[in-house]
Amino acid sequence: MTELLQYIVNGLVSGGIYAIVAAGFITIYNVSKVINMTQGEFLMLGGMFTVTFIGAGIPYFVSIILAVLLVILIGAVMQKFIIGQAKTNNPISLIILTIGLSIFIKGIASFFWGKDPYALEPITSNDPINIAGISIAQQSLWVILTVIVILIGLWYLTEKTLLGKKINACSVNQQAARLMGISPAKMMMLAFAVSAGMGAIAGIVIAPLNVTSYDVGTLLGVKGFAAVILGGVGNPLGAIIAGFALGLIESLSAGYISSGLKDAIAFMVLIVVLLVKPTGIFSERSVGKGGL
Amino acid sequence: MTAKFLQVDKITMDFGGVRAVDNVSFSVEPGEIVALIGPNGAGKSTVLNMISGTIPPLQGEIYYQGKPLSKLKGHEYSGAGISRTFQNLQTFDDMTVLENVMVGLHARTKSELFSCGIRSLSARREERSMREQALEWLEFVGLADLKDQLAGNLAYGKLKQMEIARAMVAKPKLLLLDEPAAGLNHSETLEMSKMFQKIKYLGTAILLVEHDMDMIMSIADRIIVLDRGKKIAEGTSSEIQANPKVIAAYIGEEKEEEPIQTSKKSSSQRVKKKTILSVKNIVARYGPVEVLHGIDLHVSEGEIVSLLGSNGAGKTTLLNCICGLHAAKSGTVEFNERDISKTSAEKIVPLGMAHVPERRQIFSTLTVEDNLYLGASHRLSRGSSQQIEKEIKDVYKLFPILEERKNQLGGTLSGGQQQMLAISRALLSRPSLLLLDEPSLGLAPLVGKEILEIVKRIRDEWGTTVLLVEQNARAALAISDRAYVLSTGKVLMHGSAEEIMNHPEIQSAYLGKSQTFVDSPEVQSADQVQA
Amino acid sequence: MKNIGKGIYVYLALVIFAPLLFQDDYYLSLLVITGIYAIVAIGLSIVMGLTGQISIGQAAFWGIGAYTSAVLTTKYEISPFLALIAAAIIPAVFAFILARAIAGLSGYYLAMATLAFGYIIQILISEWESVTGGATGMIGIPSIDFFGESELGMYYLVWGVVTVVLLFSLNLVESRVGRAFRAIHKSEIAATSMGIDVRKYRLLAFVVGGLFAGLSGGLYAHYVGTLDPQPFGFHESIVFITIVVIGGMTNIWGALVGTFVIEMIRAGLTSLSDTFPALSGDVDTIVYGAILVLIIMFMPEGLVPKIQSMVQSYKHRRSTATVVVQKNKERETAR
Repeated sequence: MTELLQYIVNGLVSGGIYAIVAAGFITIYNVSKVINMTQGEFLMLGGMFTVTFIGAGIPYFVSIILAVLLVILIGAVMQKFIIGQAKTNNPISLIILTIGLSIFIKGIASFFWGKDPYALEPITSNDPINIAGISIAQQSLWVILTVIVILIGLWYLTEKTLLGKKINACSVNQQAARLMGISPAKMMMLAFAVSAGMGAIAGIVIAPLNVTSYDVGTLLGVKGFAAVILGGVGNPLGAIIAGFALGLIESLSAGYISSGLKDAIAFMVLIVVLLVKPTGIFSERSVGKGGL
Repeated sequence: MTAKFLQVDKITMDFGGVRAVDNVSFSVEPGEIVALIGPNGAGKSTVLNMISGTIPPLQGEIYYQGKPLSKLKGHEYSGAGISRTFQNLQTFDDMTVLENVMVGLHARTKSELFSCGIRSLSARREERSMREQALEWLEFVGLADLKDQLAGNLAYGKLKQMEIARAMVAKPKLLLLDEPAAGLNHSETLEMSKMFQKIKYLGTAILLVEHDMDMIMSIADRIIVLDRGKKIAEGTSSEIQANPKVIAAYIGEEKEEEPIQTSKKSSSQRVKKKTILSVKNIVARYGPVEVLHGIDLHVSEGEIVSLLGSNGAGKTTLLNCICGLHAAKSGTVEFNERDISKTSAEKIVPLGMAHVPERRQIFSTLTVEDNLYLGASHRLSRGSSQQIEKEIKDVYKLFPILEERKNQLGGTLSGGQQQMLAISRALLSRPSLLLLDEPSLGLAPLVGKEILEIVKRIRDEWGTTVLLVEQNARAALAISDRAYVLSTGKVLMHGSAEEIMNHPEIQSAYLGKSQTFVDSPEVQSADQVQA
Repeated sequence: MKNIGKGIYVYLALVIFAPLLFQDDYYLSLLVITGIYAIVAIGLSIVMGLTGQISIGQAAFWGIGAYTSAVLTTKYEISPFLALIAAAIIPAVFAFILARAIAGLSGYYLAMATLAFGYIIQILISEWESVTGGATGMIGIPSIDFFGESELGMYYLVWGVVTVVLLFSLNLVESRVGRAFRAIHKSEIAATSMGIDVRKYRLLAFVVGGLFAGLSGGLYAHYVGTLDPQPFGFHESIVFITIVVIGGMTNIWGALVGTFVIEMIRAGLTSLSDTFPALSGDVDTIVYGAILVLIIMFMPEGLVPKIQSMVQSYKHRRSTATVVVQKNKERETAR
C-alpha cells in the first residue's frame, strides 16, 4: 500500500511537470496553431541559466528570476523573428521548423555548458519528509506546489483577465479579433512568452530532484507533446489531465514492471489511445468558430 | 416507382444547431443539366456536398441508379460513375496538366506499387493508354498545348477547364460542379457553357451549383431553387425567373417594407454633411482572381448606404478592403480624410470604424458579456471601465435579450441573437462608421427585418453612419438613404434608395438575363421591364 | 528510362567510376555510409515528400532492420544475403502494422505517433538484452562477401542497392501509384473524388519507407560490424528528416543530394573537431538545427527543386529572349 502511494506521489511530481509543458504547448497552439517543439528546451534553459547565475555569485532567488526573465525573452524573440516570420501554415513544415530550433538550442547549450550534468541546490533542505510511511523529498513538495500555482495562474490569466480574453479571442477567431482591434501577432508573442516562462519555472523546480544538463529538455518536451496529443490538441484541461496520467503510468510501470521500460509503456499507451480515439481522449473543443 | 437516375430523398443537415438543409428532395435524369441556385446561405453547396459524399446527410437518403449512395465509400464514387469539381480549385499544382488529368483515371486503372516501381509491361501499357485518354480530354477542353506545363503555372480559368477534363476523363455518368464559373470572365464563362452543352450531348448528366445566373438560365434544363435550406421552386429558366417566391427570396418581398420607407425620407433630407468614407478605384484579388475591378464609393456622415448585388459580386471583399482585413491591390480608402488603405484591421478599429463581418463571427467559446468587453477592449486598456459598463447597459437596452443571456457562451445563442451580439460588440468600439455584412443572412425573415430596423435606430439614436451589405435588397433599401449595386466586381449603378428600388435592371442583377436574349442586351432590358 | 531523364546516366557514371577517384579507404567508407543513409532518405522522401506524411521515427525501422540482420547472422548463422531480405521485410511488416493503426492520423497526431514509435523501438532494443545485447550491443556481425570482403566490394553492393532503390522510386513517382501519392499530398478530398483510397496509399508509402530503411539498416549492421541502440533514436530520425528537407522533400534526387550534403558536413565537422578539441559540444546538431530553420524559412522547397526551377526560369528567359529577337527580326524584315 505504501509502495503504491509512493509511486503515485512520484507520478504526480513528474506528471505535474508534463502538465505544465503540455499547458505551454496548448497556450501557443491555440493562438498560433504551432506545436512548439522547443517547449522542452525552455525547461532546460531555465535550469541551466539558474545554475550559471548561482555559480556567478548571484543570490538563489534572484538567479531564478533572472533565468525566467531570460527564457521569456528568448521565447518572445524566437516567436517574433523566426516562427512568426515563417510563411507556412503546414503542420509538417512548422513542426520541422520548431524541431530545428529545438536541436539548435540544444546544440548551443552543449557548446556553452558542455555535456556534463550540473546540480542545483533544492529550495529547502535535501532531507526527505516522511508522511504516513511515504518518503517525499522536500523539493517534490515544492514541485507540486509550483505546478498548482502555475496552473491556477494560467487559468486566472486566460479566464479572468482582459488580456487572457484577448488571447482567447485570437484562438477562437483571429479575423474577428482583429476587428476588435486586437493584434494576433502581439498575442502570439505573448503566448510564447507565457509558455517560455512557465517552462523555465518548471525546469528550475525539477532540476534539484535530479541533475540538469544540456539534453534534459528533449524527453520532457516529447512527454509534454504526448500529453497534448493524448488529451486532444487544443484542449488545455485535457492536456493537463493527460500530463498527470502520463506521469502516473510511468511511475507505476517503473515500480511494478521495469524502470527501463517505463517510457516505452507510456508511449505504447499513447499509441493505443490514438488507435481507439484518433483525436485524443478529450478532443479539440468543437464549439466551432462562431457564426452559423 | 421506377428507379430514377439520381434521386435525392428528403435530405436534411444541421450546422451548429442551425438547419442548413431542410427536407430537400429532387431528382436528376440521365443526360440532363440541373442547376441548384439560391441566395447566399441557402444550403446549395451543402446539398452538393451530401451528394458527392463529403458529408453524410443527417436524415434522408440519396439514391443513385436505384442504390443508396450511403453504401459507397468516398473513393468508390469515381468508379461508380460520379465525378466532381470543386468550388475552390483542388488541383495538384506540382504535377503537369497531363498528370493531373491522368489522376482522374485512377479508378479505371489497376497497376499497383510493385509493377509501377519496376515498370512492368502491363504498367507501361496502362500508362500509355492513360496518357492517350487524358490527352483526348485535354483537347476537348482546349488545353492540349499546355499538357506539359505544371498546373501551378496555369491561369485560373485554365485550371477550371483542367478540372473539367480531370473529372470527365473517368467517363462519369453524373458530373457534379460546384460553382464552375466563379472567378471566370465573360468569355471564359461562355466557353464553359458551351463545354457543358457538349458534355450533355455525350450523355453525362450535370448537376451544378452556380451564382452566374446568365449562365444558368442559358444552359440548365431544370432549375431548383433553395432558400434557407428549403426547396422553394423548381422549373425551367423562364418559370423560375417569373416565380414570385424566387424573386422574393433574392430581392425581398415588395409589400412588407412600405411603412419604413416613408419614415426614411425625412432623414435622407437631413443629410448633406461631410464625407466620412471615400473609396477610390479599389482593385482587389484573391490569389489569381481579380474580384474587384476599380470601385468608387463614398459615404457621408449620418447616412445609411447599402451595397447590393448578387452573390460573387464582390460586396464582402469590398467591405474587407475598407476595414483592412483584405489588402487591396490598388486604389485608396480614406476615412475621415485619412488614408487608411495600408493600415491593418486592428489599427483601424481605434480610429472609429467597426465591421460586423459576414456570418457574425462571434467568439463562440466566450460568454456574451466577454464578447462585449472584447468589443471595447481597445479602449479598456486605457482604463475607463465604469464608462464601458454604462455603455454595455446602453447596448442591453437596444437588445434586452442579450442582458438575459449575458453569462451564456456566445456559441449557444440562436442565429438572430448572435447577430445582435455581433452588432453590439461592434458598437462598443464606439464607431463613427459601422460596416455591416449581411446581417439578415440565414435568419428567419421577421428576425432579419427586426435587425434591420434596429440598424436604423442605431443611426437615428446614436448617430452612427452605416455601410450595409445585404442580400435582401428591398429590405435594405427601405432603411437606406443611398445604394450602390455591384455586379461582377464593378459598380453597376448607384443612386438614392428610391431610384435603385424602381430601377428596371435591379431584378436582372440578381436573377440574370433570360436565355433567349443573351446576345442582345437592349431587347433584354425591355423584357425585364415587362416582367 | 526515358521517363527518368538524362540525370541517371550521369549518376551511373559517377557511381561506377567514383572509386577510381577515391582509392583511399577513408573516402570509400564515407561513400558507403552516404549510400546507406541515402537508402533511408529515399524511402523517407516517399513518405514525407510524395505523400505528405511526417515520420519522426524512421531511425526505428532502420534499427529494426539492422538488428534483424545482425541477430540472424550472428545467432542463427544465416547467410548475410538472406538476412538482408529479412531485414527489409520485418521493418516493412512493422511499418504495415503501425501504419494500419495510425492510418487515420495526420499532422501533429501522426508526428507524435511516429515519434512515440521511435522511442518505443529504441527502448525495446536496449531492454531486450537476451537478443540484442542491450545497451552494450552486439559485436562480431559478419561482413558481407561481395566479390571479396573489401571496402570496394561493400561500396559496389551498397551503391548497387541505392541504384535499385532509386530507379524503383523514380519509376514510382511517374506512375499511377506515385501520382496517387502526390495527389493525396496536395488535396485529400480531390484525391478521394478521383477514386484514390487515401488510407491504402498512405499505408503503402509507409511500408515502402520502412522497407528501404530496414534494408539499409541491414547493410549498416554488416558494414559496421557492431551495433548498439544509440544511433536508432530521435537524433538519427531528425538527421534523416534534415537530409530530406535540405535536398527537397518532393524530389527523389533531393534525398540523394541531401545525403551528400549532410555527410560532407558531418565528415567536415569530425575532422574539424579533431583539430579544434574546443568544438566538443554537439556541433552537428547546431548545424542541422540551423539548416532546418533556414530551409523552412527561406527555401521550403529544398535544394534540388530550387535548382530545377532556377534552371527552368533561366531557360525560359533565354527562350523568351530569343523569341523577342526573332520577332524584332521579323518586324525588320516586314519593313
